[in-house]
Amino acid sequence: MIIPMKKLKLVALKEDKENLLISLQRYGEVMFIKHGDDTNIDTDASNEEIQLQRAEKSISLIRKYKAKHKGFADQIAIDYDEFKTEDPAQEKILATIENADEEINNLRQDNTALQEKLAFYLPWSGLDMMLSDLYMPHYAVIHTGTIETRNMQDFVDMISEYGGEIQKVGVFGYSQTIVYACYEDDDNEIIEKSKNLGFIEVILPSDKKYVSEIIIETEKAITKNRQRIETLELTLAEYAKQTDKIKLFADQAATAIKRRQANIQETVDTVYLEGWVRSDRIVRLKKAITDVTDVFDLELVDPQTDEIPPTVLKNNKFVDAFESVTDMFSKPNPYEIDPNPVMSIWYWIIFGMMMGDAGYGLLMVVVVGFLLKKMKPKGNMRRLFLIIFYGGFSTILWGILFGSYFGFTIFPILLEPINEPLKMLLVSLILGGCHLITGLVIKAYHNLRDKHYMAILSDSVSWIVLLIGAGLLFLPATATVGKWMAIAGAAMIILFAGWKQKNPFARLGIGLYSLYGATSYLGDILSYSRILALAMSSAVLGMVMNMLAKMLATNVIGYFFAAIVFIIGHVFNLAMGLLSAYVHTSRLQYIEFYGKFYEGGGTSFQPLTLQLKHIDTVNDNINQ
Amino acid sequence: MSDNYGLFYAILGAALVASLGGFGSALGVQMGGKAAAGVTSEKPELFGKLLILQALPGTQGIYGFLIAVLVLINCGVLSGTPQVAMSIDTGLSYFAACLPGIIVLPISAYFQAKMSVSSINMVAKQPDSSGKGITMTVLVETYAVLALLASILMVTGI
Repeated sequence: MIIPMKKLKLVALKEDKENLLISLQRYGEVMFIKHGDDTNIDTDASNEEIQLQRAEKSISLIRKYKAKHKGFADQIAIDYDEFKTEDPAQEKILATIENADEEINNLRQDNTALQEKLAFYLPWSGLDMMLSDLYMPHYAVIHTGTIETRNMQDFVDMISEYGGEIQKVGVFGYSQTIVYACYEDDDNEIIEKSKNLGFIEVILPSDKKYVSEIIIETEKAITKNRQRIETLELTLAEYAKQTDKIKLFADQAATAIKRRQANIQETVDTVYLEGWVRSDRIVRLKKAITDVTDVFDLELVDPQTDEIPPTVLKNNKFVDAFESVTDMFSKPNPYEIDPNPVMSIWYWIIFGMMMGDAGYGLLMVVVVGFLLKKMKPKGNMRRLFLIIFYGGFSTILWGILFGSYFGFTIFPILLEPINEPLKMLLVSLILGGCHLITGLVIKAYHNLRDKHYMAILSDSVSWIVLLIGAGLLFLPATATVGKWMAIAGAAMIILFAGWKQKNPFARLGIGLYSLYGATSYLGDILSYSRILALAMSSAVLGMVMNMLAKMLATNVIGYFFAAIVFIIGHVFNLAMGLLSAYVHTSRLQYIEFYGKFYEGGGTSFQPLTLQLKHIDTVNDNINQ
Repeated sequence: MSDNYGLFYAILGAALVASLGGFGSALGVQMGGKAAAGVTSEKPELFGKLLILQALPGTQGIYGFLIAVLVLINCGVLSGTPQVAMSIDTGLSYFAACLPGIIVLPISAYFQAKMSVSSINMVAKQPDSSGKGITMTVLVETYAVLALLASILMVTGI
């Protein structure tokens, strides 16, 4: 059912503003109404937003240092007092994590540079002179560089001709690193010739050190950096154990943002709040205010005709799950009746019929039931799981009626879809007819409430009579009754559909035109043939999987593979069947069923409340 | 050549309807998948919703397979006793019964995929409208369902 809403108008002292907001947020009963773009209202929450970003970043930084969890994630539950209290260490914790991360990044960069340096010097590790000495001699020049190994001999010969000295230092890929010395006067000629031989000059920076010393120093620096990184990572791992704490920071910041953004008008001494509240929670609302102050002026009024309050639905556990199906289409508007209680039962029936296998139903109940218990999904995910869970029971029922157990047929009670498709088609269409009639009855109820008695006759009763009559036509025993009912229904449509018109001809014209709507009813009813199509495709696929498994099951190894084919095949079929059943059952509700009476267009109720993204539950004594 | 090679036509029909249904669905799911992958790269949280939209044109392949299996059951191929002496009339009737599936399944899968791509783009901009997108896309499938139904009624009636 749809809960009636009240409009809250609250005036309070400005000094109570913050505490009042905190209390209202704790109870979560008020959805604030926005008053255009009032620039006087300070809703700047940039500080809190920065805090939220920092906390979120820290959470993702320490995530990889967290010890791997086995199974499903633990639930985080804390008390409200803890949620309310800001941890004085928050700044320190976040800063430590951020700094550690920054330092690690810097050290890693540093190490990359050091590794490059090491790679540069390694081929020169055999140079047995200090680097600065390369630049010392008078009358002579020393060159360092690489030359391809195959040109080495020619190069040695060339240098010897000029009376120079040459020394191999090390290997660098396909080349040799060499150092040679020659007379200053010959230098230019030798450079020219060595170019032709493919000599590439490498300039080693001057330094009062041996290359081997530089290498050892660099290696030491790399090791030191690595050790520092390890220490820092240990620190982060230590904080990763306190992830829950940092998650709390994030949710606290998100909660504070919502509070800051609340649209509240202020005068010098007072604040004025306007918002929607549920009429069945007024006591809680008053408690939220009196917890803070006794000085306030509270007014609760019914919504004006031009105001559309948000829609709040209150249903039992079963119907609640199916609300997500309606919400995907459009929320009911607050002035119609909640379609969910009726829709949920039809959804449940049709969903099970489309799956139509007791074995699959059992799997749905057991597996999804287990996941619901272990994963504890929230919001629409939980509702989807519940739809499959409840649908599992309906699937078992239909499976027993069809005698279908994992694709095997055992004693069908009602019929066997594969062998009796016509009978199954008939059952589907009759079920569809009943579904449509339910929709028409709800429409009649709407009209009754709005006192449009003629509309009940022309829009609902006439079509119901026509539909039942047309159905009875197909049974020989009731064909005569059916004929007269169909004619009576059609006559009612022609006579009453134009009831708003005074002019008798216009009225008759509208009546005849409305009768043309019968074609759309034909289409609607035929649309239910998809129940047959889906039930049959899942039954046939299941049967084929069994057949494949049976073909393989000839010896011991065969039995093994048969088991694999059986399991994978049926899991695949179940998954595809679930997708199709979910989608097509929804469609039958949206187009065929809701098309008859539903208006929709409601908005969701989003009260100012604690923002729990990471934390699963906040235990609070006010909720008990 | 014997006059009783009707079984060939029956199996030809089954083969065509299974192949073309599968072809259409493979094409369709691929089209939807490409669009969904693009959106997922920007908004990974929409994966679940997009997956449903992508999978929608996948049913035609199953329908085609379903018709093929029904033909094979009726011809005794699956029970190991193929009706080798089936008359040409009967065989051609089976082939004709497969025609709604052969023609409509691949085409509807293709057009449903186009619809699915549009819906995926819509969901990318308005994640809350995935229900509407699914409904609009499923509307196209109605005609695949009707074709399947026509084929089933014909096959089981022969």
